[in-house]
Amino acid sequence: MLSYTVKRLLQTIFVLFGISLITFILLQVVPGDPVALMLEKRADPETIAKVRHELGLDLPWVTQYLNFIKGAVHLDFGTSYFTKEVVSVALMRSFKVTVKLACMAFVFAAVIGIPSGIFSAVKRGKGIDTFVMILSIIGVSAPAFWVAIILQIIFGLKLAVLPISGFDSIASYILPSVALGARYAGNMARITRTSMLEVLGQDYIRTAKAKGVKKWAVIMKHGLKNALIPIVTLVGTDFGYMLTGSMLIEKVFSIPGIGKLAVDAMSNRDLPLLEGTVMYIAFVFVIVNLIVDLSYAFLDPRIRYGKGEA
Amino acid sequence: MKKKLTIVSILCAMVLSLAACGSSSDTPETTAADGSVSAETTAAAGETAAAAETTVSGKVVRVAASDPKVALDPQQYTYSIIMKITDNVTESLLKTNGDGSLEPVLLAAMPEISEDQLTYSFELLPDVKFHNGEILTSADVKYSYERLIKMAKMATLLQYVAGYDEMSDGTADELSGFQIQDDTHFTITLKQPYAPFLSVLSTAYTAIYPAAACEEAGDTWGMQVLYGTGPFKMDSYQTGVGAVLSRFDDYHGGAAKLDGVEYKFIEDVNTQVLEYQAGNVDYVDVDPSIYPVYSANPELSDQMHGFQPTGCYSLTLNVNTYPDAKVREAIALSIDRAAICESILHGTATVPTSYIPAGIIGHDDTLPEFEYNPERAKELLAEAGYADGIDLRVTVNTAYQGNVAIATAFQEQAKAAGIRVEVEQVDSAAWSDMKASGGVDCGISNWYVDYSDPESMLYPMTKTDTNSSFWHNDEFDQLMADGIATTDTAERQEIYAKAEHIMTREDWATTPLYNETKYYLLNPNITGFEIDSTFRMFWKDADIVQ
Repeated sequence: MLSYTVKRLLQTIFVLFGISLITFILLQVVPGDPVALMLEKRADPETIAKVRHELGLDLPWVTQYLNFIKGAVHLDFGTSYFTKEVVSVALMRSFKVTVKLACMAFVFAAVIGIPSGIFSAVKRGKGIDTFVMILSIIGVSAPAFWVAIILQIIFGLKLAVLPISGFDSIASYILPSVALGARYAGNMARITRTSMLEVLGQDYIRTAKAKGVKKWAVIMKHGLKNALIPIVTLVGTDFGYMLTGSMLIEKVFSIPGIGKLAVDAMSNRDLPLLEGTVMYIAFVFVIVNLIVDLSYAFLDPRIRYGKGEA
Repeated sequence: MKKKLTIVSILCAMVLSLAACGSSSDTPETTAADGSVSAETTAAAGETAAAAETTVSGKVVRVAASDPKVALDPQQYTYSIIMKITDNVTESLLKTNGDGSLEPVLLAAMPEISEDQLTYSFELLPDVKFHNGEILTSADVKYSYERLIKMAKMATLLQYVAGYDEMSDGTADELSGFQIQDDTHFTITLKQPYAPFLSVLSTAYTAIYPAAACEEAGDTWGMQVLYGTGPFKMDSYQTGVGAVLSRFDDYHGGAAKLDGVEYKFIEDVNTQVLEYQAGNVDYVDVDPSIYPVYSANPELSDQMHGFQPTGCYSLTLNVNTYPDAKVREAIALSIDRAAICESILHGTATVPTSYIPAGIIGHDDTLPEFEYNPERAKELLAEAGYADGIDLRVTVNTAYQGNVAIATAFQEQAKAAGIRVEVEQVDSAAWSDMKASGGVDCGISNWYVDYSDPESMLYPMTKTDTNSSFWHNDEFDQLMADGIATTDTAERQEIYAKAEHIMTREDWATTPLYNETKYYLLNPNITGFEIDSTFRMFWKDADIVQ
């Protein structure tokens, strides 16, 4: 297990290196110049050249990239072209906000989604099953920004029980968490239901029932436990997505998280900030995937990581 | 059971550790300026303080604003959303009034101008204090203007000052045309007469900063530190969050009635208005896309105000792609401006008669509206050798969603003239880059004056390499040179009206699309708020009356 983990972490270095290179190349290829954007009003060629030199953008691509890599190995991604803020500081500031939103949205999605899926599977074919599945489809299909606006109007404006936007209290996070988590809750309910249905039809479930084990003990102990692998895979990936921010939700609720930071960096072609943000997002996904993979060994004793095994 | 507990423990630990990363404070993080230039100020870089420490109590106006995302320094960034904040913190020597007249702000009187129009003599008001307690001197003015040149972005505003070229190309450290007589007296000498010079000195770009504090702040200027002589001092600013201003009791014009102004950065236009409806903000801009929804609301219609900014939206054509003026005229005739103003812009805009808007010198009020005449457009195309029509790529910046809708409408309207429009949507960075590099064949853009003078409206078209049209006309350039060389209003009116005629009705380098009216909602309890035609907002004389 330990050697597998170390191996995966070493692979991470190459993954991050590859992603940084692709990001850098793409930014050189796509149209868009941060200097032209900065100088919008009186952008004559002399001024553009002067500012490009100040930012080091007149250096050859290879030199620029190597300079970035040199800094990145020390977790120094440089400073933003526009705000002059140190990228790691900006990332940490946004991460703190995003992680709160992600945790709350995750809890909402898991608390609603997984029990609904279990319940729906147990009551398969009944009215409640149909009702839960319709709700889950609405959750998955309704655009997040639409859900957000509806929540703002009902709970923020009409009932005035929750803040419409902002992030200055835990209450501020409730509406964005629900808006963000609704889609994931729907997905979790559907996957949980499918996975549970597969397990509940197995012989050992019938055996347990025949032995007189209580219904919910069968469902939770023998059913859910064996249905967990696909659920954990989905939940882990979803949490990864949440941790990388949600541009739409952050915009509607004015939350300065990672999603907003990434979009701002991209729209400004703020290379240091964009590289830093992409590195962060890639790192989160790699780590979340690693944790999910490792969790399989705990969930299913047949899965073992080590030499010659997978 | 043990394994289950282990899994649960691991998951709990993960969630708690992640939550802990963000649990240090539930309040927005901001960095407070501490009111003095000291080692502490510099050390404050990168540190944060809770916004709760920097909120202002009492009579505070709360403004919903877009996030500038950059330092609050117009010398570095030219976005009008920055000036909405800084105009209440920093001041320039002069101010432009609504009628275009100038009045001294930091000066004891209007400057004296030599007969040859080259030398301007200034006298500063005595004992004007910056927010850090320092007294304004001539050296601060000189420093601020030299910094503007060094910053490069808006340096050309001072291009007619003697010594500008040397400073700009790095062969001189000082602006030789700026001569200090004493702490309150100085002169500025120009290379050639430049009529709009005093108007330029009223812009936010020429705001006066305290030299020592600005120099010491370095990159933190406008982010963590910003001192001016204005009625409010900046307590905090954090991109993505907001800015807090509090009253400056030593303001040279008498302390403001408000205790402070709080800017809340809210990106979404719907959310902004919802916050206004909920009573959480006192001022909000109303985007044209949501104007019909809220203008029809009887509770809000009385609180909605409009004003016409000095500028216009236009369709600019690249003369390298379309070298024949007849083709450019045909394109100008193939867009139905009235339909766009009525449908897409919901009646918040009007069809223009000229590029130079009403209210400034050069506007010709005898001209008819730009017309929609697809039949004439077809004839012109045929005369130019394009009887089968032409293909036209219209590039729009997605930052202005209204422009995307306008281009789409134009696509349909232009079919009647035989023009096949392809709409290309790009983001702001690509847009700026493509404009500068000649990648925009036809683009929708807007231009607003920086100062109330036709030179500011037409300036971009005098330099072939700074206008996305790449248009050049010797007669136009000569008129522009003549226009800045005289202060005779009647003469200037004639010069600029003629220059515009060449640009928009002879060469068709750019064609005006519409003049917009901007709307905003303002708490009816607020009085004395001022917004001018260059979209600058002043809270100096505002008050909250219950």
